[in-house]
Amino acid sequence: MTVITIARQELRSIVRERRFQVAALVLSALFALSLYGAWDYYASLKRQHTEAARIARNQWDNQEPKNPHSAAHYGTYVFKPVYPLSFFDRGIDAFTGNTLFLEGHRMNEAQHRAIADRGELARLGVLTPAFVLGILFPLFIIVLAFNTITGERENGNLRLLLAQGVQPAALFVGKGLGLGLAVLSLALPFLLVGSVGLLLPEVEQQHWIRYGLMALAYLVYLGCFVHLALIVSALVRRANVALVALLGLWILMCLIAPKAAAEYAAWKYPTPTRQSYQKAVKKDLEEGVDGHDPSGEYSKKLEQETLKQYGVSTVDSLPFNWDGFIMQKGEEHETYVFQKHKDKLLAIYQQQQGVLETAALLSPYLLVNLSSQRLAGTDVHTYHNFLAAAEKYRVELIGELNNDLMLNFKYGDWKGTRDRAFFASNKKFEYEGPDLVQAWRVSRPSLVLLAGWYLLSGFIGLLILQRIKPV
Amino acid sequence: MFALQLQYEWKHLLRSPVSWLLILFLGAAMAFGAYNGRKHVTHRQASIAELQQAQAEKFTALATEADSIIKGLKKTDRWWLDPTNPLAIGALRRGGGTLVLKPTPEQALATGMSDLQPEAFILRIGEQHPHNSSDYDNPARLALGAFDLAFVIVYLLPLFVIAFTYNLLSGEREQGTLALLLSQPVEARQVFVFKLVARFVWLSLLIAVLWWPAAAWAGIPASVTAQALGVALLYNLFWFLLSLAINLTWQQGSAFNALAGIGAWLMLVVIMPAVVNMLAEKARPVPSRASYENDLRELDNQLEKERPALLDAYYAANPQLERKPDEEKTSRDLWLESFYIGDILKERASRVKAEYNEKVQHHADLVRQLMLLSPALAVYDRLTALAGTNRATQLAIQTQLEAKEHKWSEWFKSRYIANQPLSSADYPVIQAMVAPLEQKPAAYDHRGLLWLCVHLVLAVLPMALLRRQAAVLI
Repeated sequence: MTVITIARQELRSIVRERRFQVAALVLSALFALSLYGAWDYYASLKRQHTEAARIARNQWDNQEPKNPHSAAHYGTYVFKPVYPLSFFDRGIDAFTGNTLFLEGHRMNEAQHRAIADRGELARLGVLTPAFVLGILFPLFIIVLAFNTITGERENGNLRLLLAQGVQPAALFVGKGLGLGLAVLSLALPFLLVGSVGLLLPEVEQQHWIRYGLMALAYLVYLGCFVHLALIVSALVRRANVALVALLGLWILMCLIAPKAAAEYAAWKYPTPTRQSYQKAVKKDLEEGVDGHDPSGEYSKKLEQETLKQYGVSTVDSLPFNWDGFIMQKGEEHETYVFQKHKDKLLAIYQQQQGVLETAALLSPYLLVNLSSQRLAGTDVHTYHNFLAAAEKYRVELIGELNNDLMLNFKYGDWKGTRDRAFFASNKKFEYEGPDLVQAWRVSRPSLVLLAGWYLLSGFIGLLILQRIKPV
Repeated sequence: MFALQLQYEWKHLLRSPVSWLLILFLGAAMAFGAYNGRKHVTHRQASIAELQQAQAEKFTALATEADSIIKGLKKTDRWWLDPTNPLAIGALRRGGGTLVLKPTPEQALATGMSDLQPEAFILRIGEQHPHNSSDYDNPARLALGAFDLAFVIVYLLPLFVIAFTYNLLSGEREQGTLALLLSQPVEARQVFVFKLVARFVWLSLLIAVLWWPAAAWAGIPASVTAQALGVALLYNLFWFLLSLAINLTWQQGSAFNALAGIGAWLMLVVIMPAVVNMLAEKARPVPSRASYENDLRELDNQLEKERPALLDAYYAANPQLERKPDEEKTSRDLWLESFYIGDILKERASRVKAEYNEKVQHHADLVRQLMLLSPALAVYDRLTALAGTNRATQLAIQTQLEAKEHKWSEWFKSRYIANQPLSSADYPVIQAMVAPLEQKPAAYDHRGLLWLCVHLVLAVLPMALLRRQAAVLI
């Protein structure tokens, strides 16, 4: 009962304050602005990529008649999918390549990161709903809450409250509840309005669930800051000092920790340079069949084995076109090598993210940042999922061409061609993105840690309140 | 008396544990920023040295092999591996020359766009292919941004200044020393002005003392260190004036001043840059690179269709060459044709590229105009210009690169056309064509500095307006 009374009283006094009204107004304006910017960004990027994908496929279908293997060299483009929730949190979107060229024999790197086309000043930040909720909203809480307990102490109320037999725990929970309600009064409308991007007809249901989880993550994160504000407010005697201390914490958690942790992670688990990466790939490639080099060591070995298997003495007496066969064997080897090294790279990224998750002990911002990206599909895993799918498609498409070469062309016939009808019948790139289960699996660690932060900070708050001195 | 004030302010500074904490904080941040900047540059240098060495070894081996082939000591049955064949070295994927971009030590100052910049380009006939290690960098790390010296100046320095100035006047009043000060037999305004100047002098000196060793450790050349310090001190002056204006305008308590200072910082340093980028995105959107790729591809297709007509023109212009039916064309005929078609393609592609680049430039121009909205943007702009990690420097490098690629292409093409095999004597010439490019910072247009001065004037203005009020207060 006391809890409810305290909460009601707290809420009432906060809402009445001018600083709540001003801060809420400013924050709402920024949030509205961020939604407007994000909406346009998302809608135009989505349109661009859908259109580009259509054109690229059209170009493939209508290419000039050519040999299937020449078509493999001609190649085609696929474009990074744009997920509905990227309007809310762009995550790493601007820092990953948007276009991927698929061709025979090699796995290319995605090109054209959006950030590269912007000047250096774009590095100073973009206004997105995630930025407003993750970086600015905590400040709002600090401004509301810094004197929650110091204020009571300074005007002598704390002594009265404790003398009346109010349990410190009740004080903490009540104050937390009151503050929490004040936060919710702004955060809930934000999150509701923020779901506007999901209203498009083609949005799958899973994105609603993802958004629900994201919203929950942000609320828990804001709850962490409510706890922090209460703790500092209880520990520090003067409201001024509490404010400065909380602002210092915010700078440390939201500004310094993410960059510092990312730098540290990169030095601790360095990613390879291009030359060492390519060298390793090349070394592995050489230990297998090269479709364009029938006289190579591994090609010869494969030749011996195949001839023996079919009981013939030369490759032109094989029941299929040896060129197409060896081309496909080479492709299979190449893609195995490429994917192996990509996976190794992803493992390094995961180690780096492990550092970020450890550093989250210092900053819940890192956790909400990771969770939000992972749920929005603008994180490293989702991106790699796309790259892997594109690679799989590349192998299938090239496989289709090699298979045609193997079965329908004579050995040594490089002049024979295929026409548009054939190319139009080739497999199309259809990619859905990771499903909800995968997204949940990836984002679970950071979500769990975030919940842990909330509970732990609450627990510490209770402990500290137990020892509170009235003056 | 000014000396006395200086002395007093110095003692005041030394005796407060909070100021020590702040100094420690700024010093540590600068050290970490310097460490990261330094590491960034040395990492790049190491990777480039590796590339250069590999290339030197490769060319030496090729030169020796070419020598043996010419002397008839060695035979080669694979033309694409033959070091005397201009195409094998100048045009094929296995060949090509690696032109490295040497990072300058001043890059340690501000990462800017350098974390996406390729460390080298591979030149082949008609193309320059980026050799980019950042393809393998964790994009999540890139997105979180670098903790470099520029970050310390742009983001953390204002906080440091606010912490030292928020109670400049309000503190005196709150401690009760203001009344004492006013009862002294000296003119109050003079005391007051001296106090401000003394505080500013110490603050600037502190920044300089912390800055110099950090920048030196990062390996930044002294002239750039000095210029960057100049910018930092102007920025310091801006925040000092702003904090003072807050002190004078509202004449509230220290807590209010601190909050207003942080509010101003939040608005100018955190929110404004984000808003500026958003506005520029709206007003002058950057064109889609997805459609750019499709457009380039469309050019390819178009050229494929026009090929017979283009070849008619080619053979008409070169009557000395015999035009054969497609089945009888030798690889030499096809290569010569491809040089011709390649030039046309390049010319047309450069038009498409220019069209896109122009739009990108429009966007960048607008962002730089909007620098007026925040001194943080102006300072960052100046620092990246000093470091040579801004867009302007990248564009300058791109121009140099195109010239190098052109030279490379023409040289190899002429050798092939003239049927002159490469000899070991040619390899030093080839190597000279891919001599490293220095990433010298591009010329600076002073717009950022200009805007910063405008900000300074804007920060002084309220004080001039408030002279009367200030007089009352004092």
